[in-house]
Parts: sequence; C-alpha cells; structure tokens
Amino acid sequence: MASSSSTSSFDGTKLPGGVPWAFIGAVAILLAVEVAVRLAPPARVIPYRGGLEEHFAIANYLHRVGAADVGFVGSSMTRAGIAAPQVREELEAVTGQSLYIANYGASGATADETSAIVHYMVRRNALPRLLMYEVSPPHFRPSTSFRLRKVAIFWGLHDWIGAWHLSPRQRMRVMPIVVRNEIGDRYLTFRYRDRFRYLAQELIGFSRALPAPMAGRLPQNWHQRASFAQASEERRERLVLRWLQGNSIDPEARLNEELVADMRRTLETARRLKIPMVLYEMPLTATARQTLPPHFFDDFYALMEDFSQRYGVPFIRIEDLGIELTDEDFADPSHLNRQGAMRLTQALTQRVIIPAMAGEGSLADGGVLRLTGRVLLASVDDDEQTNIGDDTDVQDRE
Amino acid sequence: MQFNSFEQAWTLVRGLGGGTLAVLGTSNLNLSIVLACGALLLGVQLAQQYKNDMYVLLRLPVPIRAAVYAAGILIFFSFGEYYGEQFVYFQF
Repeated sequence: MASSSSTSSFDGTKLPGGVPWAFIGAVAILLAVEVAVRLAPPARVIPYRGGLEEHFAIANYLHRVGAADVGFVGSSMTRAGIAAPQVREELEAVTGQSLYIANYGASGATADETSAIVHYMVRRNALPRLLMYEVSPPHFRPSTSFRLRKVAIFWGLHDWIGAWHLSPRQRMRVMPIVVRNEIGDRYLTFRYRDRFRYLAQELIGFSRALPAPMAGRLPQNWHQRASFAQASEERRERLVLRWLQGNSIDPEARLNEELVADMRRTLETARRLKIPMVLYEMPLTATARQTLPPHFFDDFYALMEDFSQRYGVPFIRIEDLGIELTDEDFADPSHLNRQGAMRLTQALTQRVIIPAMAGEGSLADGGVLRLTGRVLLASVDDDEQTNIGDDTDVQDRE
Repeated sequence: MQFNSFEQAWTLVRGLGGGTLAVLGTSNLNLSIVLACGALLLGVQLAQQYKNDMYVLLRLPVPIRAAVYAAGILIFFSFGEYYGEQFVYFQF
C-alpha cells in the first residue's frame, strides 16, 4: 500500500513514511499464528526432542493439556521402560472410559528435577489422578549436583523470587529462563518457538517428528534399539563404559543427602495435598547392579521402606511384580527395550495401576492407596491413610 | 591481517578447517542454515544492486513486507540461542 508521506534516510534518500501498515500487518500475522497455535492439537504444536528440550516438552504438556489420569515421573529409564499406550489400553478395557496416560520420564532426571516437575503440576493444577514415581539406586549417586538450569525450566517468577537459598550468581544465571517461562505462559507462539525450527527441518527432510511419551505415545526411537543381550562384544563394552562414566560410585559412598531431601520434599507435598502416589522401582541389568556397591542398594531399599511408611506411599519393588527381566529385555545396562517395557508395564498395570484406579476400593471408588499383602492396592478409610505400607508388608518382603 | 610466514597462514587455515568450519560441517543442518542465510543476504544485495536502491526491501508491497517482518520475528524466536553459555564478561 502506498503511503501518503515520506521521510528521509541518513543518505538523503526518500523513504516511505506515514502509517506503518507493514508493521501493523506483521502484528496481525503474528496474532493469527498465535490463534492457530492455540487451536491446533497439542501434539502438533508442542516441540519434542531429547535432552534438555525433553524437560520443556514436559512443562509444555502440563501447561497445555493439564492433568493426566495416570502420570509417570522419572528419568530416561521411565521414558524407555513405561509403555503408556499399553497402560491406557488395559485400563480403558477395565474402566470403559477414555483415559490420558502420560509418561513424563526425562533424561537424567533425579529427585531434584522430579520435585520441580511435581511442584509444577501442583501450581498448574495438573496433578494426575495417580502419580507413579520412579525410584532407582543410581538416582541417589553422590556425584549428582543440583541441576539448576533444568529445575528452573519449571519455575515461574514467584519461584525465582522465593529461591533465597541460591547465590546471586545462580539467580542471575537462571533469570533469563524464568523470564522466558513467564512470557511463554502468555504467548504460546514464543513458548513453542522450537516447533517452527523442527517443522522446517522436517519439511526439508533433515529430521522427522518424534512421538512424545508425555502425550501418551511410545518412545519409538528408543524402542528401535537392539537388545543388550544380542549386542556385539564391542558395543556391549561401549554401553557399559558409558554407564560407568555416569554412574561410577565410590565403594564407601552413601546416598546423596541433597537428593534424599528433594525426594522428601516431594513426599511431604504429596502427603499434605493427599496426592495418590506410588513409588516404583525401575530395573537394572545384573551388569549395572554389579558396578554399584552392595551397601548402596541396602541404603536405598531401607530409605524407600522408610519413606513408604513415613509418608504413606506404597513402594513397589521389581520382585513384587512377579517378573524377571534379563538382558533380553534391555537395550543397554539401564534402559529397557520394547520387549522389556511391555513386560514391566503389563505387570505394573495389572498389579498396581488397575487395582488403584478401578474397581471396588480403588481411587475411583473413593478409596486411598494402601499396600496389602505384597503389591495389591486397596482402599482404607481416610483416617487410616498414614498406615499405608504396614509392618506385615515389610516383613513379607524380608 | 598480515602473516609473517607461510606457516602462520597455514596455521590459521588449519584452525578454520579443524575448528569453525568443521563444527559447521559436522551437521548438514547447520551448514544448510548458514547457506540459506547467506543466500538470503546475497539475494537482498543483488536486488539492491539491480535496483540501485539501498532501501529496496522497504519499497516492497505492504503485504510482502508484513510477511517478511513476521517471518523474521518467528525465525528470531525459533533459531535464537537460548541456553548457551553466558556472555564471556559475565562468566567471571
């Protein structure tokens, strides 16, 4: 559109002036993009890739989609080892309802990040009806330090202001992340900005869209890996070496106290808000277990039993599920392959999730979670809630 | 830049080959982005040269300019570096 006036540039050239129609048009286009982003199905617009961006995807799904019926939180072990579609299929068959099962497993997430995720769920009113919380001994390795930048992905300005325990330098370091989170809460085009880049990459064939486990899909890229048992000697050595690089623990080391405190905070929140929660152990290969000091396992199981009783949260060990996982079920020392994920998920669904979610005495029936026998979950009266995980259960296990 | 010896020049070329250029070359995607941006800049410069007008972009029809501005903002959002290391002066 021609303008009626003009202005001069620094070199004297006459430039178009007057009403900035092109600028107004650009704003209109951006508004139209924002409307389209808000109307599109979440899985089409929320970017999903591995690594750090996985944490953003979790925040984005919780922000946009809200509460799942069953939500799994944990590390990449959960991302690879829990098949959300299978949980949905089996649970829907029992309940006859359409359900949303979300796998919020994220690379390297331990108690600090999981605590941030659970507290983000609380703030966003996006707590699942049943929260499945992954636990495993390596998550308490002493070498793990507080991952501030990952934790801050789940922070708003309020959290940042309240984080007085951080040094000024740490606060400044994560301030840009928090500011971007605040902008992203209001402007979804900005929040999902990576999706435009991925879309361009997909259009020119440099990458393909990945199914997001937090949307209830299978992590197909992980499940395409060959089994650990069938790996060549060279590949096996490489995988074990990689495992050792991240999980080498001093023979005298004890559980990481900071991470224990982070988990305790999450459990206190769960008890205060009466969040139905189950702690489930993710399996390791015998190879991985042999690399960790034996007392580390003893400390871990003692801590989980203590948490279970203190906070009234059932703790499910692998042996409680009645399955034995071998190297055939793993892709590497600590991640299940498709076969292993299906086996673990089926056992967990049948023995824990269905009894917790459906039928007489379940959460749907107004009950609360409780261990009876070894793993069966049934209801008790509200005032008995703190008795979950009674002595009989512990003795049974021992 | 002036080199006092062929060895110095060769060191610089090797540094580019083994450093900056190698980083770009290890990812076809990164290389493509650099080439696309370069092509875009070259296109604008050619248009400026052809029209003998430094402000050729500003004289495009309003709808096209609006689309270019909006695309520029989206590209800025999407390709921005958000989680890199701090600017070197703030690291100490």
